[in-house]
Amino acid sequence: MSEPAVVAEGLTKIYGEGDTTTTALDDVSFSINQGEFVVLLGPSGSGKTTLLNQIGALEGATSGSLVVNGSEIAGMSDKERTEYRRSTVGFVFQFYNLVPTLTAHENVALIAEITGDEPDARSDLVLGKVGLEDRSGHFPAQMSGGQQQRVAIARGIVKDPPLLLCDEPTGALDLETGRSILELLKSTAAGTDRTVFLVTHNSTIAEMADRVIRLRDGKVVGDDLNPNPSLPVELRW
Amino acid sequence: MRRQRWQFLAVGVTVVIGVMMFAATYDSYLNLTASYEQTYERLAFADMTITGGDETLPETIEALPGVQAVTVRHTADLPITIGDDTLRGRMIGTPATDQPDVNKIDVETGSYLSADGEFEAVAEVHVARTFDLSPGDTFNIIVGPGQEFEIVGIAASAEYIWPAASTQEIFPAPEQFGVFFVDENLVAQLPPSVSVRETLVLYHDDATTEDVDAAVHDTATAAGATSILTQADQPSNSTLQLDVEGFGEMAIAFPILFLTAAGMAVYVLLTRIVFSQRSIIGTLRASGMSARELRRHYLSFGLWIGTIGAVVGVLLGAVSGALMTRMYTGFLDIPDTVIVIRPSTIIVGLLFGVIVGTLSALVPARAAYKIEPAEAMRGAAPLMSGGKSLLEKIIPPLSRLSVRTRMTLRGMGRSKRRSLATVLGVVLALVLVLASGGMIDSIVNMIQKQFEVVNVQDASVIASEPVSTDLFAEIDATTGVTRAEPVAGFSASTTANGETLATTLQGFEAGTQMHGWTNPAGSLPSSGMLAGAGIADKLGVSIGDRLAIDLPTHDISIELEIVEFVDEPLGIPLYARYDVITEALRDAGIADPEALMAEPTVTTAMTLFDPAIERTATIDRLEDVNGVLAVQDARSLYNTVQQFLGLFYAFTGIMLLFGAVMAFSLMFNTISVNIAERSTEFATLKASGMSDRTIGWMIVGENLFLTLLGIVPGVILGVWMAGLFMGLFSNDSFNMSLMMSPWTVAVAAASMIAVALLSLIPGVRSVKKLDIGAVVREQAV
Repeated sequence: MSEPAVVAEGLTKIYGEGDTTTTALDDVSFSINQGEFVVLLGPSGSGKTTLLNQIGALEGATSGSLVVNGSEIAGMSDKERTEYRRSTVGFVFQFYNLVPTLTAHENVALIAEITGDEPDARSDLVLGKVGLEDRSGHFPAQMSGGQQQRVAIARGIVKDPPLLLCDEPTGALDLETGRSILELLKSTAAGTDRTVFLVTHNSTIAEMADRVIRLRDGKVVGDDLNPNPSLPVELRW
Repeated sequence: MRRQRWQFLAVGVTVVIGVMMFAATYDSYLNLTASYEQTYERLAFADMTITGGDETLPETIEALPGVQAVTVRHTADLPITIGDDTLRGRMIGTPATDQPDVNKIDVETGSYLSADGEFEAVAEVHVARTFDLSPGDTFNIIVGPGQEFEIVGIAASAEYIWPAASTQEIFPAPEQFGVFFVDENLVAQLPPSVSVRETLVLYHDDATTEDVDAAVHDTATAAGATSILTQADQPSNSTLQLDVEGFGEMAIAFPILFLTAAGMAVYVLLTRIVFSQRSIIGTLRASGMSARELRRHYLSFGLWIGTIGAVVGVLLGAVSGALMTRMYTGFLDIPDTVIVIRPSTIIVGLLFGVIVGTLSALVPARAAYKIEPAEAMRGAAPLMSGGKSLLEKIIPPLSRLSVRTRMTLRGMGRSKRRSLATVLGVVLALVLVLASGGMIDSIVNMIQKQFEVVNVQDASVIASEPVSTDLFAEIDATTGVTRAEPVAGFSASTTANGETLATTLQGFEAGTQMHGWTNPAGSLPSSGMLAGAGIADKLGVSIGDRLAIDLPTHDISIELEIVEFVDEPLGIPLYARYDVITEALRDAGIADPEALMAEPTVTTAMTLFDPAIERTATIDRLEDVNGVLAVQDARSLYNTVQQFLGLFYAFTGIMLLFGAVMAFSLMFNTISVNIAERSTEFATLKASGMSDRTIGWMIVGENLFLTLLGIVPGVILGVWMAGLFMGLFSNDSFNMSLMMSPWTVAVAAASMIAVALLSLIPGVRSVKKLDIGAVVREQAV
């Protein structure tokens, strides 16, 4: 059995103050092993994006503990969180969030520059991995949604993070393109210890996960291992 | 509006300042004009002042159509003492029984001359203030047998609101020049070498000034007048008019700068609001809202901000205008102060604000109703097309810079109009700052040139008797004096091509150390004369021309050739060597020109002092020399002028502050909008581990580069504008040319960079405070 990559205990996140509070995460606990492909599943407002933000140290918790690779991140300072995000997590967003003034290569290299040497070579390498070596000089507006999402994935993995956090990565894509993106996400984790968290409200996607954590109203209502994950190509929605 | 309250506030402040500046300066301009006109009207200020001419001149002029009244008087500049002080007193003859028909005086304290009090005088307000005079005080004329005069009143005069001694002597030192009104019969008795006869002409209100001016001018010229001054050229009036005209120019030019900046800021802000409300716009359109209603909605933003800014600006402008008028008339002792709140100014001020607000909202409002509902409801705007920056295209090696740097360079091209607004903010602010700073520089340079390059003497020693070799030897030997030279000075006038110039003719020794020469040769010629460069324009003469120079106090006319021009800041003087003037007098038929030149009213001893010895002690010693009547300290005038500069510095400071506010308002808005639009992008970079500092530097770099882009045209336009203003301020008395200190440009440019950095602080802090989680959550479906 591998080391746990992420362990949450009693994690709670409350927004607002006084009478206008919203409990986005309510006493959430789970343990994720290294290398697992985890789907956070739930309807809108269930707290899945909030949980992803917690794991990505994009915001602090109200209470509870969140340990990633042996380090408690719930009480990190701003500086420590920045360092953590730089070294530990890669993000993939629903709307790609590419810098429109930079080419595919530059979008990736921008992040590579802040995380190590030879940014250009590393960017070329990951763009090759996502199948966009021939599109590296294109600007986002010159690419399809699927291609932009591939660039976003390349940007997420160029620093070789142990955690890849994907927030509805297929939400803006058609079925075919969505499946290819899921394949790509799966393949980027295969043969590595990289743990992938994928947020979705699409239960079909959950079939490809090693583990599915179901959320409703901020609570974990299910934490199931999937002994036989489907291949992305087999998914239909 | 609540969300962008600070941006709206910044825009509002710019509108307020723009409208306030207009209302205040334009009302002040009109108030000052009205104040002068009321004073001039009430005191029957002469439309034309003629010096000399034959005895029949007044009668001939009175018969001309359009002439209402003519007053003849005599004026004499005499050395006087007030207590221990010696100064030049201008004695102006005025009827002892009643006020004259032309150039009345406004007695503020005490009384007018009485019919039976022969040696009474009314002191003009400036000399009264300088020497703290009041009715009952006395002064003494110290030529001939001398005579004590009793001051019976203190009065203001339309002729001396600005206490200029002559067109050539706009800034007499207040301690060395004062005006007194005394019985005309006394002044008229003085010999022609001491007094001049003046014919003052007042026109009918309904007369056409230009026509009567021409008729009077022709008549006076034919009668041999030595000086013919229209009201516009009268030394006090022409100096004051420069100021008033300056107000008039500023009342239009500076508010336009502000309102342009405000318009750009409204445009940038509303474009952002429309952009951020795309989905709402789409929903409203889909729900049946018409394009007209939508346009009206977004136009109302501009209308409201323009209207509120204009109302506040007009109110503040009315108060400021009244204050400015009162300060100005109080500072200059203008007898009448007219303060009127003019509906026309209010209406134009309101229109300025409303029009600027509405016009600048037009394009964003149009953009709002042009959005297709289906497209708008998708929320996010279409992705902007990427591309290399212009700089990278021009300089390909820049493409090898780090991606962060390339992103900074390309960031400027994301919204060309917004970048243009930032650049424009810098340009407009620099124009405002440099136009006013350039004027100050030019004035400071002008004064330094006049007192440190041209007039380099320390003091002029006036003798009480014909200047002799012995007296000079004694002055020269006085402790603290390093050199003394005789310098001759005549009031003069010269006419060419139908134009007359009232001027001075000064005679210096060949190797004088009292005057710096700005002609190409750098020295006085051995024959002929040097003339102020302005004479070429004024009289249409050029080098090589021989001019007849009338010396009215001696009733002589001499001829001298213009050898070269001198470029001096003040006046249009004539210079020749002492011996050249002596010979010219001989040629004109003067039997003993040496004796004439030695007269104490002609020749003074200019002196240089030993800087190691206390100045006042040297002056005291000179005053004690037997035969010395008065010592005029050249530094005294310099110091007086320096005091006046304080006002100009305050003015520049205010302009610098306003310029900074304007630049801040525009930059703050463009930067805020820029950051707001890119919040997702910055959140993504932060989520990827990019530090706040790195993002902050990218924003700073982008905007500093835009600021630098604005500085170049801003400096060019600012310097040009300053030159334009200086041109407006040039006349016979001032030869204003733009002399901008590199330091002023550097300080103005550095200020813009400082303002840019200051306006970046809120934006950079907002990046630091950017809630990445919230941005991600807002994006999540």
